[in-house]
Amino acid sequence: MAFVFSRLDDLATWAQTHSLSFLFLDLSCCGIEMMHTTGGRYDLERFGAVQVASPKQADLMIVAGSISYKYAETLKKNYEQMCDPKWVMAIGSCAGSGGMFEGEFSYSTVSGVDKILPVDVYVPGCPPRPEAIMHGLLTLQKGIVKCRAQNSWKDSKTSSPEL
Amino acid sequence: MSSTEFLEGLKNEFPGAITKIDIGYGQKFAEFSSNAAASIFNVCSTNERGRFDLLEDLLAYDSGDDIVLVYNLYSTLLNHRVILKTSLHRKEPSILTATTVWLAALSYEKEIAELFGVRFKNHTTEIPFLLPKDWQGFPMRKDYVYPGGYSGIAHGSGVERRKR
Repeated sequence: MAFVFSRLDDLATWAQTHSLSFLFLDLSCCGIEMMHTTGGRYDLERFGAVQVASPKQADLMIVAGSISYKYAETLKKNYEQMCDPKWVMAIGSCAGSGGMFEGEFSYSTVSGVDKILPVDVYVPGCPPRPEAIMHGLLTLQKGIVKCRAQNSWKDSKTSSPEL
Repeated sequence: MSSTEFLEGLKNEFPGAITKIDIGYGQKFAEFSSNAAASIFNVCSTNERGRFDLLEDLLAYDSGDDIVLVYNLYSTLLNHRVILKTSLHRKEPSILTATTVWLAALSYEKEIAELFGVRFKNHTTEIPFLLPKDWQGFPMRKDYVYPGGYSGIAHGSGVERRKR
């Protein structure tokens, strides 16, 4: 019986990792690479990730680009509207650490989305290539499998920020 | 060359207000004192030799001592252009709005009011344009000090960078 349930759990894990609906926040030029990734040539949808228009339907938030202080509030509100379990991907140097707008270089830019939200996967690059973004998504899928294997995705997420 | 004639005429008409006329880099410059802004804007738009009906650009810079406004004017009727400059005291910079003459000045003035702290008298709206509503200071001034953070978010990553 335990065998059947463990197999069912594997099935549920497979279903969850391969049906990620993501909310895509295109904040600057990294958004162009992200659009390219979802387009016909690279086609992110073959990994099961599909773009949705509303944060209420999404379980993955992809932040691509630099975040201004004015936009930070909106970003937080979007994250709060998403249902648990939820993940965040930071694409590009700006979303990762502030990039070229970090600290003394800009008065209005947040130094990384991790100042506001818990980030699961960082994709470095300025901007990263579509292959890198795809690798980021596959890394996230592996991380979700790992967390589900521990059967406590929430605890593991709060105790260690990296999946 | 009609804009040169126009500037000479302007200088004769307002001997105190026009402080300097300069021709360089293929452009005609005139510096005027901000007290005479209303009459100079009116003359520029209505004078027969001027007829500047288009404000191409309105920009500002901080020279260290003053806040300088630069009006780039173009006449679509006579096909010539002129650049007007005026210096404002940085303590309480204020000038009459140009929106009554050129409506294009509306968003330029909003932006300058926010980033340089210039007060445009008789401007229609004072709603913040680019910055959040409770932002302190004027970011484009040379003596602006970067904020330590905004609404609970600390500024900078905390990592020391090599000095430029």
